[in-house]
Amino acid sequence: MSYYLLPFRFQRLNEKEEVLVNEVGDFLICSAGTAGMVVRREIDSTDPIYADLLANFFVSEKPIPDLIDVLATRYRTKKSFLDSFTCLHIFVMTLRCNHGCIYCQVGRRTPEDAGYDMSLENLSRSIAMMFMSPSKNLTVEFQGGEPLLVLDKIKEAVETISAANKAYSKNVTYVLCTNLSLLSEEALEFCMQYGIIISTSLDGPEYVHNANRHILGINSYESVIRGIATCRERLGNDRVSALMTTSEFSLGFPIQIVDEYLRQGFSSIFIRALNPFGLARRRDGKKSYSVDQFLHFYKTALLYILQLNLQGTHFVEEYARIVLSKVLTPFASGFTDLQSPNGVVNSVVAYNYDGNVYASDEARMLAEEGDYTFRLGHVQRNSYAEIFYGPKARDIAEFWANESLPGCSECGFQTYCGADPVRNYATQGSAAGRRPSNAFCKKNREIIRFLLELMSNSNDIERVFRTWLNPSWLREQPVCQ
Amino acid sequence: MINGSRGIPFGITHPIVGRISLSPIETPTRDSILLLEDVFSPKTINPDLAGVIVRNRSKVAISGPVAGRPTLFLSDLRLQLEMHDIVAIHTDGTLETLFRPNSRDNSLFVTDNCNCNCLMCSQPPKTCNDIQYRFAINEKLVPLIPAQTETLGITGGEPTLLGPLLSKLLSAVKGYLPNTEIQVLTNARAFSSTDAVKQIRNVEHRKVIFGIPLNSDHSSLHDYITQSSNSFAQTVTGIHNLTRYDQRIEIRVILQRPVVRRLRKLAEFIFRNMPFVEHVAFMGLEPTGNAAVHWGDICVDPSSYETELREAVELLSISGIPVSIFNLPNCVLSSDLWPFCKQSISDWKRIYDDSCSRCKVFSRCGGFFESARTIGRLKAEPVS
Repeated sequence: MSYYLLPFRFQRLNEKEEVLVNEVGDFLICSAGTAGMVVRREIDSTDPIYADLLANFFVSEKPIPDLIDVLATRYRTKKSFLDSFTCLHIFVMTLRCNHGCIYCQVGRRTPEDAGYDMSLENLSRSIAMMFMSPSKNLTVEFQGGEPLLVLDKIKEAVETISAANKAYSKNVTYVLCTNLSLLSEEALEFCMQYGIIISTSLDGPEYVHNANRHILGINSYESVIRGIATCRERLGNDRVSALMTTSEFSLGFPIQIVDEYLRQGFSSIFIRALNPFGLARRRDGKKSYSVDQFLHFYKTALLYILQLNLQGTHFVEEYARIVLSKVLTPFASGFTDLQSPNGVVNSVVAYNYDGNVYASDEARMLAEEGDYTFRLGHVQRNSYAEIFYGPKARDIAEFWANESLPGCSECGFQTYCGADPVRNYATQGSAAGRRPSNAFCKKNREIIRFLLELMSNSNDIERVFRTWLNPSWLREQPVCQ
Repeated sequence: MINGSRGIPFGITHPIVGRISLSPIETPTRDSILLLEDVFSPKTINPDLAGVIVRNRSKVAISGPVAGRPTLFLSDLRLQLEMHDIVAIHTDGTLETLFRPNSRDNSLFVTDNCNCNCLMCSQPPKTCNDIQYRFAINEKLVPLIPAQTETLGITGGEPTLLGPLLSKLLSAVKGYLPNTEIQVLTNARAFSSTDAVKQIRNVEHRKVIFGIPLNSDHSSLHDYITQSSNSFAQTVTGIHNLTRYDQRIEIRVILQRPVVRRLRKLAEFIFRNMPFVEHVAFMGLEPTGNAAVHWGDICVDPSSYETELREAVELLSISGIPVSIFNLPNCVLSSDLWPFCKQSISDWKRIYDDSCSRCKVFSRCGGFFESARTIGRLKAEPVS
């Protein structure tokens, strides 16, 4: 009896293996050439793989499978991050900063510069616009520059939001992105009062961190370590998180950076590349590094982390965890960069200090360089509909789903990946991007392939990955669940 | 321990459902059935008694009912009856124990009919016209069940064959036993129709869970076990429909030879396609009924599937779905799986081996099925 094909794509993993992936992320790792055999109807119903093909929705014994409604439910679940629309609202309170980080793209100003703080008028309009989002859950993320330079404005913002929320009863989470060098008693008490989560930067051990992040007259590393300890003590361990950025200098120290995070009592690390990378030089002339260099760094760190896990230390790499949540669970991912449609507008929006509204952080950084392609509008001059559903948003929509991008539409990893029109534009000059030389593609394709290959070779590693996807993490996914 | 018996009826013109009362310990009521331990006529008998059961220990010849009440003379002395047990006496003299307050494993039996004929079924179906009859019995039974009863099953055969009577029964249970946790054992095939599910939803019973067997992650193997084509598709659809209408679900996987190689893949199928289920139970085979008939095809030694079982249990447990292992004694599994083992075999069919008294974990072990003794599967290895 012949079978019918259900929609799937496939991708080579290595010389010996390939992977079949269907529309909802079910996958089958099999020997190279299997996809061809499946398509040519060379699989017999007595073949051991036939049952796997049926169970995982690669083939069907009827033209319309009996369980098509289950597939529909699974597909809806994968895209459920769309249900709530914009839930992450970035408030860029000031461009002023007291650090000089080598990879900064904020377009920062010195603490003495005037005219780069968010006015109260823009703040109140931004807040009003935020509450027009249909999302039940709102995450308010204060960024800068250095937000603690404008603590008064932060307090004003939180108090205004809190008061306004009485009418909406949404679940509001506050995140303060800060380098912690200006942490004061006043700031601590305020964070305690409103349950504000601290997100800071720790690039690695002292010699790595300080090489990347400079502040005149102060040891940035010491200041952030002290700040983390104080915040943990006063706000609670679960209220403090740290992110790292990989500079060219960092590339030499993958294991040391992981060790630093362990030493500082973190249970996870998010290994982030420079933004953007893949260019020899960035637009501002600063040095960058190649995708291959980053991948080498990433894999070294990840393998080290896996070793720790296999020896009994629970420690998670966050980027892998996000990809794995798409591979190993039926749920949607809350990470905007790896969503299709991309999180711009759909999940995240950035209100700049000057009242302009941007599709994302990166869109705002483009504007700092004079490119307003991804500026959605202005809080004083445009309505919610004009900003969130206007011509700019619709232009981006052409390119925000990888299902319809050249190079992505047939890719075996499509379900696990995303689209990033802003980054494509920033690095390649078009929102669609050119896949063969696209750094986002190259990085994700190799990381996904690497993770699948690791699981295929080791049940123990697959088990470790599954422990990373514990239910409380899935439930906590910051944004739109 | 047996659940029923047969005696000689006198004056039983319709089925009697009543609560056992032991004279002279308590004053019988209208719902009571007086149990006399031998043939004699008590001086006073409540004329409103539902019926009388007499154990004919003296083996005398009997000629008529006791004090004009519907009477059943029972020669079979094996049947244990205790005060407040609820029994049914049928017009042909069959006596059935319906409910035992001292047991944690009571169920409402709703029909012998089923729309499957599973290889491992411990209570093989019969095609018969019993739905209305049994519904009438249960209608009389439910009001007599003590309100503090913690759990109650609804089982058969296949309860959904009752059609609208199933929601009617659930309504009655909700009314009389609002605090009792109800578990309906069903293959959920009928719930592939949303109308059937809506009827259940409309009862708005807050304490019902549906226990649904799933044998595999694809139709040919699942349908082979159920001996019914389309059962896999209908059951999975039924599970989704039930959840769509806010019902709670437990998946039951019976551990038998054709399915154990794919246990891990079944666990993955459950997590990917029905992550909303409340609980998954992996259940050891009960060697009775159809299972005894097909024993050669389905029997499997737990040691031979322990790896697959461990992988399946771990996958679900790590993914946040509560898992249990039912019906397997601790000694057949390695100790890392013991935390998942529950004492699940109904008390009236649970036995232990003599050597079990020496076992270190005897107190938390679920024991063996009584039928295991008959089929020669009782192999206990006390843990030291």
